[in-house]
Amino acid sequence: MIFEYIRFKNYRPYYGEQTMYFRDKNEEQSSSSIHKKNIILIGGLNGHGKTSLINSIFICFYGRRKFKQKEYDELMRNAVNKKHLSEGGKEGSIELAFTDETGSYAIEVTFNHRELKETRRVYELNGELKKVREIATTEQAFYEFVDQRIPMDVSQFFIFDAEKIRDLVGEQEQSETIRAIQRVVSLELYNQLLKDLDHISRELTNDLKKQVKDEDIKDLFGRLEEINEKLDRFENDEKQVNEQLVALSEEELALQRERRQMISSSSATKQQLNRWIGEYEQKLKHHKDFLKKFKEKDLQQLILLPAIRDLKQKLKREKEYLEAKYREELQFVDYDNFIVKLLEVKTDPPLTEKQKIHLKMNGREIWARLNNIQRNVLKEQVQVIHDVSNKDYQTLINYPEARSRDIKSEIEQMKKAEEMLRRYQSQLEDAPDEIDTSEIDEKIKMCNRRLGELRAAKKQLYTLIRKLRDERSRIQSEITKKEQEKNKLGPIEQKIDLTNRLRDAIQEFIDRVTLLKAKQLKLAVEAIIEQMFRKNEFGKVEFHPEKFTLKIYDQEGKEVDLMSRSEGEKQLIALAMIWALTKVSETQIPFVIDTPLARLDSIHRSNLVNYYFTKLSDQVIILSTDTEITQDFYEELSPFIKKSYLLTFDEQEKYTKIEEGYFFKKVTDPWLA
Amino acid sequence: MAGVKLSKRGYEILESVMAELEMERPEVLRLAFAKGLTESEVIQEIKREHSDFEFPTSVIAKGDEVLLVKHLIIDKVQTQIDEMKLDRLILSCIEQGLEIMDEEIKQLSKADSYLLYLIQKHVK
Repeated sequence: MIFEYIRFKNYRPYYGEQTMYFRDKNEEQSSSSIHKKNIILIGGLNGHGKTSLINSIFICFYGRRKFKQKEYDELMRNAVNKKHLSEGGKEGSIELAFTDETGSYAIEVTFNHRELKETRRVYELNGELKKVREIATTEQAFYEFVDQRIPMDVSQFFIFDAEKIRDLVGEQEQSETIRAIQRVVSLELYNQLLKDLDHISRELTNDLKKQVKDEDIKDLFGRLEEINEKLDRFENDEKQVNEQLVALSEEELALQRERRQMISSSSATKQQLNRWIGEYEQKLKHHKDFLKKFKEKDLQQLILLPAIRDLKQKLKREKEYLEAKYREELQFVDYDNFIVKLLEVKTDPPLTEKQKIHLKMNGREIWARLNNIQRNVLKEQVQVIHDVSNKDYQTLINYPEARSRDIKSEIEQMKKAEEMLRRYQSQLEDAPDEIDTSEIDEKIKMCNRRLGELRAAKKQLYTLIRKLRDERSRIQSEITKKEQEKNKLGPIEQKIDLTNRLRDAIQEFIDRVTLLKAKQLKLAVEAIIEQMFRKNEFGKVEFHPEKFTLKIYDQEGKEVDLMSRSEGEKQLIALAMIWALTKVSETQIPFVIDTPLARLDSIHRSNLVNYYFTKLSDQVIILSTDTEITQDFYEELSPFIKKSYLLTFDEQEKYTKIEEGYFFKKVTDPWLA
Repeated sequence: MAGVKLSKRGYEILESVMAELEMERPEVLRLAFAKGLTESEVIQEIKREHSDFEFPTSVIAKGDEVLLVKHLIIDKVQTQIDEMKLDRLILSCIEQGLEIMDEEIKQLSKADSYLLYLIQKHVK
């Protein structure tokens, strides 16, 4: 991974928009230097923004995870540049861009001062480092994305304050440090694999508990056999009962037939006569009821029927007459008005009443002729006697007429029934006694009792058989289920065995890899120490393969108490460890080192530059004050410097400016001069 | 419709017809009315000695039947009538009907059924 740039917008001391580029692609291609330019030197006096820069990288990568709650709250409160705030601004942001084998990305974190809120956005960049699109990601997914590249607990080895890194020497036996180291050398990954295998093994063991035992299935089969035996027995019983039932039913049928023959062979018995009498009494009652109803209701209506029909006809005739008369009168309305007025005219001599009537009648005839009035509508004079309203007329016209029933045949049947009844009653008196069927009746009774018992037994057997069949199918399905389960789980013992063997193999692999890594670390540390320290200062180096701790011995073979060494030495040992880790892990991560040289003498400092910074990684960002790197030292370093920046706090403007260059003027590469 | 009193003679006939037809009193009265209305030449009031038997003319007709009975009588007497006269004419019809029935029964032998006679005569 390589950092491309970091861009501040009104973040902390950085006012406005200021960008620090960590590499220049075009320059890289055209560079003809024999030196690998991997150093970015950033100078700045205390309080001019170096720590803010390092924290910015942490914020972009890890957010608040990397900080203590209090620390981060403080950071949030002061995130937005004060000058910007005083101008009414409210937001400040950091944008960190980097490239790895999967592409180029920019992480942008914006702080809102008023709401004390941060917003994180991730962008995909193109070859020109322009934002192509925003990557839609959740916070969790983003952290996973980062942790795949620089895990948070590993970050302490890549981005660190050199003053503090020496504590690593004292802390190297702490479990977090060990875990972080193991993570760097990928051992963590193997350990995770071991854990996963353990988990699988445990799950398989649980499955083993669940696994269907063959004994269970055997038990079920045993129970099934038992049921089948019972079923066979009951079904056999049922068959026998059925056979008996058939036989007995036939016997009963035969007996009944015999009994009927016995009875029918004799003449009508009293019993039969009684039945017939009963039947005819019933018929007679029916006829009598019918007749009674007829007498009560229909007879009168039938007698009246001709009169009713006559009335209806007369009513119709009267109505027709009245309507015709009305229509005719309507045609003489004008004439009547005229003649009344005419006859009121005084004449001399005056007309007699008779003359007036005469005139009126004749005039009417003339009027009728002149006006073509048909006067023969009223063929006959009808006397209107029924003064009925329209409603009454409708009621009467629609009055229901009694239906004539075949009452004669009904009476005949009744008479016949009476006759039959009389006949049977007289026969009854002379009828012979009932035939004695008591013996056969008894047999039938016995037969029926036995049949009843058999039917009850059959019912009972049916219930039992049905229950057993239910039970059988339940057990059968249970067996099927268990067998399916058994097949599904498969040979668990074998799986566990394989898992355990795999686990053992992995364990052995880890053990060996650990040894190998420890050996590699030991060699790397030895080499670095040899290069960085003065000759013969230390003897052999030992690296504990499990604890991953470093032990250094002097020339006499005596263990050197690392804690009692000078601060500068501790720092160098710690850096040696980090470099060794970097080499062993074979990872490519940029290094950001704050104030690395403060406590070192000129020899160690020179060694550190020549053997450490220039070889550590493709990108080493060094932050330093003006006193750490002296003019001559700067000159020594300058062939390896890719870019240099100076952070200057403008006292007048009250903000930090990022400017290219360093405290001293860069010396031209002597090879190019 | 008010109550009317049957004549003694009428009452006697009523009892005998009831026995002959095996019918209850109201039904026989209704039959008698029908017979009187359809078979009498004219309906006229006859002065007779009243019995103690009084009955409401509603026995003969209720509801729409009243309208029918009224107009049957009007048709019979060929003149318009009032309510009071209607009751009296109903009674006259009954009295005359009973007489007719009495005559008819008298003509029958003991073996004859008056009911069958009526059916044969009126049910077509």
